[in-house]
Amino acid sequence: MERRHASEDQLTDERLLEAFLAGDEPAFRTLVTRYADDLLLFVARFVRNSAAAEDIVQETFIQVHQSAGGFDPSRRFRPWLFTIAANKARDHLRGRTRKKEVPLSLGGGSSDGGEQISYLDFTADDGASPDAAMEADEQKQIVQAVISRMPDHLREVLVLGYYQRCPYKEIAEIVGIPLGTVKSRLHSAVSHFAEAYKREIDRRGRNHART
Amino acid sequence: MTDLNQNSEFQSDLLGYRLGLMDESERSAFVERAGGEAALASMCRRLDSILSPLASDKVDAAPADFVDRIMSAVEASNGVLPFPKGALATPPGQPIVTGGGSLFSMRELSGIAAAILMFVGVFVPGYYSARQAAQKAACANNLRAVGNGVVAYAHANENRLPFAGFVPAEAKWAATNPDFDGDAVRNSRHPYQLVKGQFVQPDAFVCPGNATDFAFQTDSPGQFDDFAHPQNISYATNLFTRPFSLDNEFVETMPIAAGMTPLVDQNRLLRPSGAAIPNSWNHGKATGQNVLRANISVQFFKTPNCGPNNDDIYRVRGVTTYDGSERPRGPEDCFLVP
Repeated sequence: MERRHASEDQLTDERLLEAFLAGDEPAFRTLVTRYADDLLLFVARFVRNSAAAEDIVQETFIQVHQSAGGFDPSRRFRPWLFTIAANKARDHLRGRTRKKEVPLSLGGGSSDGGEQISYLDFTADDGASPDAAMEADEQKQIVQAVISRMPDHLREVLVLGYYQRCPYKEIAEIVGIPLGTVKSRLHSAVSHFAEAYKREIDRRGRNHART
Repeated sequence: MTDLNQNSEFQSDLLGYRLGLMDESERSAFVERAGGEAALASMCRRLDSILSPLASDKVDAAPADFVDRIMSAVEASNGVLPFPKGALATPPGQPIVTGGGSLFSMRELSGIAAAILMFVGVFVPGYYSARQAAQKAACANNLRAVGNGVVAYAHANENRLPFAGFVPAEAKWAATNPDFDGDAVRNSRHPYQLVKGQFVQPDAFVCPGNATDFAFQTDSPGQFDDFAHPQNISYATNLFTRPFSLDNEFVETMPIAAGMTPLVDQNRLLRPSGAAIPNSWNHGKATGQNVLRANISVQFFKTPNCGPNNDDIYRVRGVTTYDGSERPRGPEDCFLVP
């Protein structure tokens, strides 16, 4: 049994799913072990709620278990898994009570392309990086708040691109949008983050100066 | 070299380059366009100063028992419930022991068992008949939903009934055993078009009277061409080898869907001809089936002879032994298959 599990660890995801469909239940557990952590990190960052993220990951694997027979063997397993998780996460976000969102103008440009504000406009060129003067905890709070307030579609590609380091093509498959849109959307997400982050730093800086 | 500040496409590519999101050919082309790795290095430093705060967003790691919890949830979703520890290990005839000590003697257990039997004898028959009536009603609602979906599909598709593609003349509509490797084409591909086009929800295809069937769960029905599992559809539908139009090809009372055909078992494998029963087994004791007709009416029939001219909706006229390759004989020979 140990030997079989050891060899299962080396099988590709698609072969494991094939083995599971042929009746090898431990193969499914190997897939869960392989992806549970990674999927949880993705979903937790996307929905910004660790308890909900755990539920979503569980539901994702339940669906994979039930729908494995419908998996198209010509596709890769990982994007399929992340697509299911992303769909469930989006459903969760649609269903939650919407928080009041702070309008973050990007100069009227489309968030998916067109005339965009560059993230380079927010580079700290003067060398006086606000990071140096800021406590790590405070920075973490600001970053989390900025990411939480981001529009869902931008946060999704930011998490997939920056945190998960999914290749562009895989993001396109997971989110279900064209490759060019993935690139422009990730660019928008980084610009959006950079602008909101800088504005928050400036605001806190002004408050400190007053006090 | 490209001016970094003027080209948003270049900046998008720079992001992909820095984060390693490009494939190899795209990356090489970009490096060449940017004037080499050295030229890119300074641009990446500026980009890093923007991206670096993102690294401080930490999320909690998965709990140590996360995989076990997922597996338990998966098992529970399949109706597999774990036995309490100790109960299985109890030798027959001994008091049931859990952890601490004896809970009941055999005499007490006998008394309780007798009381339970009496309760079951008095209340369960009534409960079951009420439950079955509710299931029949819910099943009829399912078929109405399917019927409405058929009408919506027909409006969007030149008045045709759901059709997924031509079927080879020699193809079988049912396999005879689990190892069957012949040319079998599932007829459920056709009704799946209703799910694929989002005319009908997948759960409408599951009869509540059929305990082993379960709804096809998908957030992207368009990605599939058929129900993932034969037990995702509890209803038999017309065997279509070509597209059928609602115009003139069907009499209004032609059945187009009904409870699963009795010719197959719960796994949709063809039953031996000796095991034939007349009605669908969707509802208790195979007492009959709900039938959806082309005029989108639904009615419960206690006999399978409810097609045009008392046609048996589950069988081809004149055929008594089935191997899964049968075809209907003429437009009025209704033949509903899995």
